[in-house]
Amino acid sequence: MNRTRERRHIIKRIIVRGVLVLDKPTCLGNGDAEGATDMMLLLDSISHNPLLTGSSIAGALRNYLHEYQCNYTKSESRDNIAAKLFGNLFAYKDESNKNEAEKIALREKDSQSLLIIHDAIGSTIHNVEIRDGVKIDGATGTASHKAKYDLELLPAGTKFPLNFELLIEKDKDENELKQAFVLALEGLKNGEIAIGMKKRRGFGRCHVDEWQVWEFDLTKHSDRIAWLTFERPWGKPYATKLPSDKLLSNTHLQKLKVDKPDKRDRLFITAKFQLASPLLIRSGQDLIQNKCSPDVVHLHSYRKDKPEPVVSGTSLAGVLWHRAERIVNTLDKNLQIVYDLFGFVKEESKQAKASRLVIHESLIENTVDIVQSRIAIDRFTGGAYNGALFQEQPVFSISKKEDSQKINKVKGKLKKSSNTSSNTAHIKLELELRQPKGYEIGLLLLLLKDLWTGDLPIGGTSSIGRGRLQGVEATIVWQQHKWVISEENRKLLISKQDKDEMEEFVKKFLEQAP
Amino acid sequence: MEIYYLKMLLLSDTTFGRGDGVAGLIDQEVEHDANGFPYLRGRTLKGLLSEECDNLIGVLSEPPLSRWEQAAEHLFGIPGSTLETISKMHVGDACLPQDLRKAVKLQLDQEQERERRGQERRLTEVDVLASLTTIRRQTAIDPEDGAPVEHSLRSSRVILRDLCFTAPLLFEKKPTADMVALLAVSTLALQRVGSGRNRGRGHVHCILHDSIGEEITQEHFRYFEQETRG
Repeated sequence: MNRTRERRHIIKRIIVRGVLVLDKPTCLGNGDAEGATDMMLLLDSISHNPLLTGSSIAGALRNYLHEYQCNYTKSESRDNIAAKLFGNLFAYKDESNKNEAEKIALREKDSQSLLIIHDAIGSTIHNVEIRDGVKIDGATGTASHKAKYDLELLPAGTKFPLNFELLIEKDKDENELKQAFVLALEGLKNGEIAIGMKKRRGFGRCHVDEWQVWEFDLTKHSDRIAWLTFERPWGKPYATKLPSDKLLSNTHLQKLKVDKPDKRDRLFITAKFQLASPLLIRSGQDLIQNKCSPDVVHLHSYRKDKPEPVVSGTSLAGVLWHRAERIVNTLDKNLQIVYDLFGFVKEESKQAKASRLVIHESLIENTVDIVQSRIAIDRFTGGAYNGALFQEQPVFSISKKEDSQKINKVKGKLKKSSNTSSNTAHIKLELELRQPKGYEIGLLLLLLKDLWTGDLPIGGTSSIGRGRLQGVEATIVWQQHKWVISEENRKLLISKQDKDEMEEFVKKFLEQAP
Repeated sequence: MEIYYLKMLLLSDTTFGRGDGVAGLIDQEVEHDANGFPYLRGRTLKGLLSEECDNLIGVLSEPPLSRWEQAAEHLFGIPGSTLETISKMHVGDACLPQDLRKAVKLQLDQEQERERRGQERRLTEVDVLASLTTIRRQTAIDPEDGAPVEHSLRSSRVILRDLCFTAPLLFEKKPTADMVALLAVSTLALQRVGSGRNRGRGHVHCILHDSIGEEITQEHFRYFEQETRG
C-alpha cells in the first residue's frame, strides 16, 4: 500500500482578485429573527464591517452560469458547467427516479468545488439605510394588517474585496473550467449578477471594475515556489508572478460564447418619464440631521454618501401588480397570469415562486424638495381639525431653468439641482421580464401605456394628484426585436411596423391569455 | 524527543466541525472541550497536512521523486501500517493558548464552587464558547422557482477569525532534513481547513516553530526550494 491514491493532482492554481462595488442598496441579512429591524445586516464580528460570505458569492455566480447555459427555471444537472466549476449538488432532480445502486454509482463521481471563494469583508459603512415597506390590499387599496416590514440595507458605494482561487486538476478539462470561470467573472464585471435579498426588486446590483489574475503552473519549480510563498511577509524574493489580465483577455476562452451561447430569454423595457405631478413615496427618513424633518419625506437613497430621491423597485412593482390585477379582472382572465409574472407566497401550502419581472430602482433627477403643509378638514363643520396639521416633503420636477429659478425664489434661497438646464426626463425605469410569453408582453405594454399617460400613479397621496408620470421615450428589446416609442409636443412617435407588432402582443393578451 | 509547534492563525471565520449540532439551535457545532474552548483534533490536522504534502509531491517532476515520497511515508505513515512503517510524527490537537485556557478553567472551577454553595454562576462553559464563536445561517435557492428550498435553512457555528491555534508535533527521533522540509512546505500549503473551506470559511495562515519558539518555516522551505530546483 502507498500514499499515491490520496493525491488530487492539482497542476495549476489561478488566483483572481477584484473589488466589488455596490451600485444599488443591498441587503445581506444575517438570518437572525431577533433584531431592531426585521432583517439585520450580517456584520463581521471583529471589525463590524459588512460581511459577504463566500457561499453567497458562490450561489450568485453558480446561478448565473446555470441560467446562462440553460435558461431560467431549469433544474441543474450533472453535466452543467456550473456543476463542474462549483462542485456537485447532494441530489439532482433528473436523477431522482434512478434506483439506489445507480444513485450510489453516480454519487461516486461527485467532486468538490474547484473554485475557492473567500469571505469578503466590506468597507466601513457610514450610512446604513433603513428601508420599510408594506403590502397593500388590492381590494381596499389600504395597507394590509401586520404586513409592514423593514430592512437594513448597505448603501450604494460599499466595497468588498473579492478573492477567488481556481484549482485545475490533471484529469479535468482546463479550457472548459477556465471558460466557465471567465464567464462568471465577466458577469460580475458587467453588472449582470446581483447579490443579497430582493434582487428582483432592484436591490443588490453591483459591478467589478478590474480583475487581477495570478496563474501558477505548479509543475514548474518557480511557479510552485511562488505560490507557496505568495503574500508571505518574507516571500518577496520568490514572487516571480505579477498580476495580469491574461486569463480574461484570452481570445481562445472567448470561444465559449460561440460554443455555449447565452440561453437566457429576456425582454427589456427602458422607459424615460417626466414627473407630471409631485411624487411622494413615504419613508420614515430623517434627512435633516439634528433638525426637525417634516412628518413625511419622499424616499431617498444614498449615492456617493448623499441622499438622492428614488423610485424603489418595490413601490413600482406594487403599483404594476395591482394595475395588472385590475386589468386581468376587468377582462375576466385568470389571475394566475399576475401570480406567474409577479411571484407569490402561499402561507397555507408553503408554496412560493419568485417574480419573473425584475424591476430596478431608479434615481429621480432634476428635482427639488419642497415642504407642503396640510391639514385635515372636519367634513361636518368645514373647519380644521385641532392638531391635524402635518407637513409633507414630496419631490417636484424642475423641467426648465426658469421653473427652478421661480421655485428657488419662492423658497428664498438657492438650491442646487443636479442639472437645472435639462428639460428632459426625470426618471428612467428599467424592467426585465424573464422567459416572456407573448400575452405577458401584451399585459406589460398595457401597464407601460398606463404609466405613460399618467393614468397609473406611483407612490402615495395619489388621491390629491401626486405620483403621475408623463412618458418621454421607451425602448423595448426582445430577442432580435427592438421597438422605440417617443413623444414630442404631445404627439406619439412610433413607426407603423413597431406599432403593428406591439398591437399583436396586446391582441395575444386579449385572445390567448387563460 | 524532538518537538515542533504548528501555529495556525485564522484569517477568516472557521468551523472545525464535529458532526453534530444542538437541537433547535445549531445544525453544525464546532469541536470544543469541556470548558467551551474550540480546538482542531490532531488526527484531522494530520490528515490536512498529509493531503497538502501529497498534492505537492504529485507535481514534483524532478528525480529522485522517491526521496520525497519516502520522507512523506516516514512523516505521515502509510494507511494500514505496521510498527515499522508507522508515522514518525505525532500530531497533537491545535488549541488556543494554554495560559488563557488555564486562567479560564480556574475561573470556571470557582464558579462551580459558587454554584455548589447555592450562588448564581457568573460564567459558564457556554459563555466561553459563545465569546469565541458566532452563528451563521444559510439557505439554498431553487433555480426553478427562485424561492428557498424547503428544509434547506441551516445554521453553523463559526470560530471567530484572528484567533491563533497551536498544535505540538512530536518526533521520538530527530527527523531528517527532508522530513522537516516537507513538513515546512506542507505547513505553507495548508491554507484552508474545516467545513466550508471552499466557501471562505477556514482560511488560515500556518507557520512552523521549533521547541524554543523560533520560526523555522523559512529555513526549511529554502532547503526544499534548493533540493527541488533540479
